[in-house]
Amino acid sequence: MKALTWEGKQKIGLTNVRDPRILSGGDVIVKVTTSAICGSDLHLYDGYIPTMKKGDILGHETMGEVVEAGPMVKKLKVGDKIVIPFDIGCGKCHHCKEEEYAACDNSNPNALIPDKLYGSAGAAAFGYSHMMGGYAGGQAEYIRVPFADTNSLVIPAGVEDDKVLFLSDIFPTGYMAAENANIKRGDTVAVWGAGPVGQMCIRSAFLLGAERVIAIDHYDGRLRMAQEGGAEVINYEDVGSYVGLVDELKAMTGGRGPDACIDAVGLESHGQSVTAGIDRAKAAVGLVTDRVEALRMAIMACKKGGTVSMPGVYGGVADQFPIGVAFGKGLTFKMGQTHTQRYMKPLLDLILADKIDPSFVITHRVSIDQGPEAYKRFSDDKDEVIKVVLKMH
Amino acid sequence: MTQPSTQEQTGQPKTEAGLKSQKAVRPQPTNFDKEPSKIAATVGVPREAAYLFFRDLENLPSFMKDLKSIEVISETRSRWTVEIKGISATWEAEITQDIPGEMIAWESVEGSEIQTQGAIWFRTAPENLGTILNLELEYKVPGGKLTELVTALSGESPAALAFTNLRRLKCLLETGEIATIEGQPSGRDQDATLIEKH
Ligand SMILES: NC(=O)c1ccc[n+]([C@@H]2O[C@H](COP(=O)([O-])OP(=O)(O)OC[C@H]3O[C@@H](n4cnc5c(N)ncnc54)[C@H](O)[C@@H]3O)[C@@H](O)[C@H]2O)c1
Ligand SMILES: [Zn+2]
Ligand SMILES: [Zn+2]
Repeated sequence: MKALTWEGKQKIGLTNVRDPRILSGGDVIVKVTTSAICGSDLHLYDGYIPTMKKGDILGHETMGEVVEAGPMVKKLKVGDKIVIPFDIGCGKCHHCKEEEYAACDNSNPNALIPDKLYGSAGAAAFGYSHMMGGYAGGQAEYIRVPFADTNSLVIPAGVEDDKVLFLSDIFPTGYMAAENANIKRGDTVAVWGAGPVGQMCIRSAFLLGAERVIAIDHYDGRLRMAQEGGAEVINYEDVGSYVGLVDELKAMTGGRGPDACIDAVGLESHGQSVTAGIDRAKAAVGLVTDRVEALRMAIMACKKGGTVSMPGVYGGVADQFPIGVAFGKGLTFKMGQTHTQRYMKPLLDLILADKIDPSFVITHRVSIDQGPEAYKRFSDDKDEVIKVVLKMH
Repeated sequence: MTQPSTQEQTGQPKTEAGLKSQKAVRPQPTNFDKEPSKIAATVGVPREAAYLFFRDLENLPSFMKDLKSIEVISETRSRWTVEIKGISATWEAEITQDIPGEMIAWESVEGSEIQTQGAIWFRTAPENLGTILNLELEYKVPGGKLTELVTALSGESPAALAFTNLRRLKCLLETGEIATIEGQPSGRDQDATLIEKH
């Protein structure tokens, strides 16, 4: 089959590999119909995530049709159309039973690495480094899904792929980020990053009762999409860095600052301030892995007693983290990988009830053959390219 | 607020749950020849079930890496076979301590090709979390042709080997499967071909 493979920093291969097969009783094999490229894939592309190996099959936003099911699979059958969550839960451990799927104890066969690095290992994920389990991803014609009863949502017949594909990651991610922001009716929520995740945060914040959402980015194309979703927007390059942006946000909120701030940027944050420059320089020489400029601004702008929610991915350590500001204002922080399986069904219901259609975020549809090129364009031209989906067959 | 200490006063060892659960008391160390290993996992099955599964030594190859088979010869004696990359070795082991529901310790018999010892401890976990397992595995590097095998077997350290095998045991007991990626395709396979690269 054809698959997109990681071939080193900023190198993506289109590779012919063997078809996957069932390796354990709870597996299914899925013929992938649609798959997407995620902002998280860009962290791999840019070489920020350790323990990738040349030849790893990428992709974690995947859906398709079950073509084979292992003997322990109970809920799925051949022919079912399913969406596959990006993180892998076993369904049986203490954390999975609590619906904390991203903290699954059992799905990562390489748990020793994160156990040493982070103190304990979270769930594995598809196509996302050997530290995260090393599972082959879904930017391929077929994928093997372990613990398939837990890692699937059956989609009713007749619903088109593009409407439900993002249940695999960015819609639950945006929704959980908004839930983590403790939004109360009437609140103002500021969202850093108007990428696909930020876009889902904006829509979800409104669904959860926010009165105003302010989106911050420096790409007008992305800010325009945020505006279509009902957000007020700030191009941070227009207001000057750091102090300018914080002043602007306070001015927009009666001097209080936003009730909640969401960092939907993560570890590749851009910025113009002195600290951002230091981050960039250190990252370039490998001294520090995470650039935290957006997070710094979110902490600085947030109202006293407010919440900072962080769906953006971080992987290492950070410098110049304004801990005194966070302490002084008594902020609450919530963060982490999304417990995708917890949200898939309720959010499917919202889609089927026409409350939201997440396909609004798609700007490009290409075939798998154009995958390597699509990575490059997604990375280089963020103004125009917001979300790329790959059609597999 | 946490509850005030009661165990400290009675001199009993603390449990994983701090001082909340009186049920989850570590077995008295006096029962054991040695202290439980520090490699621990909490497994969501009852203590008796975990003990019985392990005590049936023929179950061990289902989760212990590279262990090909165990043949039970008598109540306390068993024959173990490992195989890595075509090299194999066999030895006999003797159960040296067996406290039903609490711990099992074993050791290869004198004169074995490979000298190894191990032990597992079982304790009731706090609340409804099941059972706390502590595992210890040691292989002595013998020199000669089996050096490579034993080095491969123990990985980077005995602690790493015990950690990995304990996680596999937990996964098997909780899910009936062991998480794996062995056998999945990748661009590194012999028969994989790169069509294009960007
Ligand atoms: N928590 C999870 O489980 C989860 C799931 C999916 C994605 N993510 C993460 O969410 C983040 C966003 O994903 P995406 O797909 O939207 O990525 P993306 O790269 O498309 O979007 C990031 C956006 O942030 C903007 N940005 C950069 N620096 C900024 C700054 N200082 N201030 C404001 N905006 C800034 C960029 O211009 C870009 O538009 C990534 O870190 C991704 O890894 C997390
Ligand atoms: Zn993603
Ligand atoms: Zn689990």
